[in-house]
Amino acid sequence: MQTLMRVDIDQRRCCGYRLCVEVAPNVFQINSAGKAFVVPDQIPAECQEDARAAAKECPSAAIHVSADEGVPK
Amino acid sequence: MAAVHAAETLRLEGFCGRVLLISEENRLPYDRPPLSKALLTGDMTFDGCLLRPASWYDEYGIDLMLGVRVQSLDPHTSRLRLGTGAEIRFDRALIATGARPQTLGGLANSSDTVLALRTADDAEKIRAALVPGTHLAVIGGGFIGAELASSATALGCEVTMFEATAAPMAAVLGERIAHSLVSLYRANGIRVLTGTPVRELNTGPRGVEITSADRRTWRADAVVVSAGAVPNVELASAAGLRVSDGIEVDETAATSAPHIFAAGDVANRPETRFGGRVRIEHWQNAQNQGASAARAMIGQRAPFGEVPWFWTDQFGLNMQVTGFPHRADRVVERGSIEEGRFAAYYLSGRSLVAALGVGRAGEVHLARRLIAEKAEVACEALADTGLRAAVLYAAEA
Repeated sequence: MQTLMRVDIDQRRCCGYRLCVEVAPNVFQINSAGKAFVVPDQIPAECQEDARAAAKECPSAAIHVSADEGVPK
Repeated sequence: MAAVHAAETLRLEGFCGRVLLISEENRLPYDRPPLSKALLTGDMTFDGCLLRPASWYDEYGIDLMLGVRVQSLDPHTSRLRLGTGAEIRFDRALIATGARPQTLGGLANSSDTVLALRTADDAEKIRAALVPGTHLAVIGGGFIGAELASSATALGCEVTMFEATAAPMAAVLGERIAHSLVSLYRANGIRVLTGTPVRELNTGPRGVEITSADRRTWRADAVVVSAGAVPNVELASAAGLRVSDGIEVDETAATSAPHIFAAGDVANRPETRFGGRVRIEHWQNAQNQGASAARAMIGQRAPFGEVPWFWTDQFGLNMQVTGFPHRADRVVERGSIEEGRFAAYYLSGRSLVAALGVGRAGEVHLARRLIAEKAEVACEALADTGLRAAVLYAAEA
């Protein structure tokens, strides 16, 4: 069974460094305010490693990755 | 920005006393970066720009006084006098009065057609002027001028940019990059008039007549003057605090009166790594210096000397700049701005002092760390292989 991943961005912490977009372009994009947001509803298995790396790289520690306990849509 | 972050930090650090936030603007504190971009183009509303929702101030026990001007501050009696005539006693004060747009010598910029951008009210006035087909003149080719020009063209306006020097920001960013920026603006449909200092603006029924120093004239429907900012030091100056280009503070944001602090665009701090003093007009500096000042106010004094960093969005490109470009003795470039992959490394000897990147967020961030460490890089490798490899080479040498 595929593990589901939950990715949250603390908008107040995000400074718009864009490292997450470089590390995981399929997961993160930048909105019109210059802040990051998560694109896919569910993080595909092949992107999960990149999403974790982006969370680790984020200079303002604004990205939180956890296991999604919710029921898959 | 600095004030909200300071207030928040006071609470997060456990300060239980009264926190009063006084602002002359009659609006909840808001984020300024969108004012020249998403707020103008309509991609964001003002509510989306609020730093914190109204309920946050109650939740954090922060008393807001909006639309109230602080008339004077007496460091000896520790009292503020408000525009309303009321007096307030304080134990510690933080001055975060920011900056205001530089006006061109003798040119008033306060009509419906001659505008300047600093506040949300300004942005709303500019937005109202930017109807499709409008001919807008932007006076000043700096980053804010470029963002305004970019937003105005996106709205279907015709834009002419007046730049006093041969290329905008050449004294800071270097000649080559300044010329690349002019090319970028032109490629995006902006008419750029370099070496054209504006001498007069005359408003009339048919818009604004713009006259250059050499007596040439142009006509525009509206003008935005974007010629830099001047720090709002008057309150501090009248209080007898030490003021030069900004309010002089030490590395813990304390002014010459040790119980009064200053942070953000208005503060002029010592630059501990490279010497001299700096006044930084960036969003992140306002946040972090505000937080640092708050800690110092409650006795947790720690030096603040963050390497400057900011981003600008224009013509579909995100550009990030870190460090002190004016300290460089040479610049190494890699890639091209127009292709969206570009880096400029600013060097003083073998040390990196600044970097500018387009589509190179990781490199800019690495550069910022190297600048903080005053690390040496293998300059000869930079143009071909970029910063990561140049750091490795330098380590091996």
